[in-house]
Amino acid sequence: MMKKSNLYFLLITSQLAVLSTSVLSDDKNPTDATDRVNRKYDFKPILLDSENTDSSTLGIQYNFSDSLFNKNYDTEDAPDCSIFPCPKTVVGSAKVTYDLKGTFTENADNNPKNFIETNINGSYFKASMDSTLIWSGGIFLKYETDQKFNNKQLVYGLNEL
Amino acid sequence: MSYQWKKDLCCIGTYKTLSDNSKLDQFEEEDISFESAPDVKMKQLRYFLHTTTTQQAIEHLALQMAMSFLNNFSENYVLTKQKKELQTADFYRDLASIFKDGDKNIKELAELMDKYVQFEDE
Repeated sequence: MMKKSNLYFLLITSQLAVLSTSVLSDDKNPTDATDRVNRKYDFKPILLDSENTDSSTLGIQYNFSDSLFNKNYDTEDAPDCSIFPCPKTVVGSAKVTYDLKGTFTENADNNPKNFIETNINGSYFKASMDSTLIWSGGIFLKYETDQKFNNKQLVYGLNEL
Repeated sequence: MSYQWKKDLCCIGTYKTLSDNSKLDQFEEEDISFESAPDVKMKQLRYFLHTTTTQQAIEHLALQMAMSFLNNFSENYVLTKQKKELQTADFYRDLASIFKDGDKNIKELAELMDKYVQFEDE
């Protein structure tokens, strides 16, 4: 039978999940061309088989992704450009996005999914018709840890795209 | 009134640029005729990106595809703006949004071309 404290925990986390859906997933102005990104704010209670016991444990599972910075650097066509599409027009963009996911439980020792991930990605793109060279690249930063932050690691590197 | 797929420079140019072996080579004309092309979806094209869900990669490759499409198109057809205020960069980005969406079809691609470009037969 489920403990009374667990029931309260489930009730509270369920309400938080509903709130997160209605408040956090509210899109920003969709007409802004520089702000079209995939946003995700999944936040839900979860019942897990405990790691070290026969009982179940309650947890909160989250998966957030959004952009911190997202801007297009497109140039306008030159006034004297008689060709369409204008060859010197540049299409460019820079983005920084993040991605957080993990599962928390009341007691970290009973958490079978005791792993928290934080990803930050930056990318840059620049291209024009008169250039065969397309500038495209990015960096990533990844931080992984358990719920108690006892085991952790930082990974970083370059992205090709 | 919805856009009509017909034998004008816009639709023929779209079809030929996509299919020609020396251009985008997205399908064989023996497999997809001009008449059946408008309903063909982007995800049915040969080089549609199926192997990743990374948004960043999809967006960059769709932009490259848009530029390549327009570059190849303009080699065979004289393109002028429908309206003076239209911008090349917006054209690229709108084309890219079609190329990255697997459910968009070739008719929608031609419709976008017609929105931006005034062809000689108009």
